[in-house]
Amino acid sequence: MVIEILASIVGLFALLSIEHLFISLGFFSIWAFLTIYSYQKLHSPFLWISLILVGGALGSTVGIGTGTYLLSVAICLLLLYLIKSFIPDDSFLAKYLPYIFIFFLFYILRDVFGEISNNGVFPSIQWSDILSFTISSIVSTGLVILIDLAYVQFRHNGGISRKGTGIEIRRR
Amino acid sequence: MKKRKIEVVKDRKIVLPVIFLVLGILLFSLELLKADSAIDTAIHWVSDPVTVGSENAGESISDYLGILFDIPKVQKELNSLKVKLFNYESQIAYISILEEENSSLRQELNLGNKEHVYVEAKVLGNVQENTIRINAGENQGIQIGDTVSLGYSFVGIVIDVTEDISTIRSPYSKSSTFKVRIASSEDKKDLIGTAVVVGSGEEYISIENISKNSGVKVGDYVILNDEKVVDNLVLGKISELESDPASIYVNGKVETVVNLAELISVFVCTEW
Repeated sequence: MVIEILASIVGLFALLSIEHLFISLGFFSIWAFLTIYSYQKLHSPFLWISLILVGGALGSTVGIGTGTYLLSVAICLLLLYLIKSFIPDDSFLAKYLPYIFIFFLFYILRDVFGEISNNGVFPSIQWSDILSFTISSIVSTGLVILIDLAYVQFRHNGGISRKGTGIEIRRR
Repeated sequence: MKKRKIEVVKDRKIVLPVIFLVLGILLFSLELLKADSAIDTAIHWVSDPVTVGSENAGESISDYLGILFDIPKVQKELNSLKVKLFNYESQIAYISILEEENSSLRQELNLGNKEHVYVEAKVLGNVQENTIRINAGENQGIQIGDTVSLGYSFVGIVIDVTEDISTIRSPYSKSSTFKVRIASSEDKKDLIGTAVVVGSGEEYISIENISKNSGVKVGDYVILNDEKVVDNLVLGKISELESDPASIYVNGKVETVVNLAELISVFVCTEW
């Protein structure tokens, strides 16, 4: 328990640091990736508390308004919940295509809320921004696919029978 | 019972987005109402030590990557600058030729005997050893035997002429022989004696038949005094003297005043 709390605190600062590094480099948002990817897969309360704290802090430290990150990702998670509820993810495309859309939506919403928060106006989104968001979304989704494949491989090598792809939460 | 359990699970799945949404709306509203300054300050106080360093590192890496991406553009700029540089160099070369020509003309205008008729020509290069080719010939009135000079310095004699090109034999050539006078380096008007110069075919001109009693020294001037060439042109300076006890003459070596290998403009005396 204590170790989990300490690890969460360290992870919180590490995530903040990495997020800022990625923003400076123009990469994708590692926080959004972790939050969206972990949804319905990981249930550790420490992880989610850390993600909420980092999300709350990021809007302020990045300078696009406190709550911007949380609000953007909340809408994305709600949409992901709806998609996963109504569309069966039994095929590769059905499973990963929504992620591209969700990540793209997150970047758009972050931009929109950030501009509204700072200047009170709707932003003018350029084609270059859309291209950048699309690339970030594809990279993030690629990372989701890679992690899923690595997890499946890990399970296979560990001798556990293979059932589908991705992290599965089983209830007994 | 089973159906109810599934509904509970679905409800739990929506809890997390709702928590995010509530917190997001709350913080966003505070931001819009400008009531989050305390939260903002606290967040910055805690996170700035962590974020500033990584932000700076990211910017450094980004700058470095930007330089790498800009290499093709820099290469293009470099190529265009090289072209410009070549243009400037050719312009400079042209200007230096003009300067040299200007200097040569000044020297020529200072000549004592201005009644001579000169044709200006540019050196094209060497044909054989100890010959110089120039870009003027019969069309400019040059004939075989004309004297070529630069200011007061002797350059050679025209030995071959075509329409627009002439070949000059330099005094270093073995075929070059002239009668000369020797003037003291201390008092140039003081003529010490007469002698004969013969080209060696190498990098010096031999001077022979100088009287032992003339008092000639290294550094004295050798002035042409031959009916084949224009009078009073300076051939060079005595660079070395050899005295043979069995002979009544002193021999030596002469080096020209002008470096014939670096000539650009010369003047051919067509009438004297």
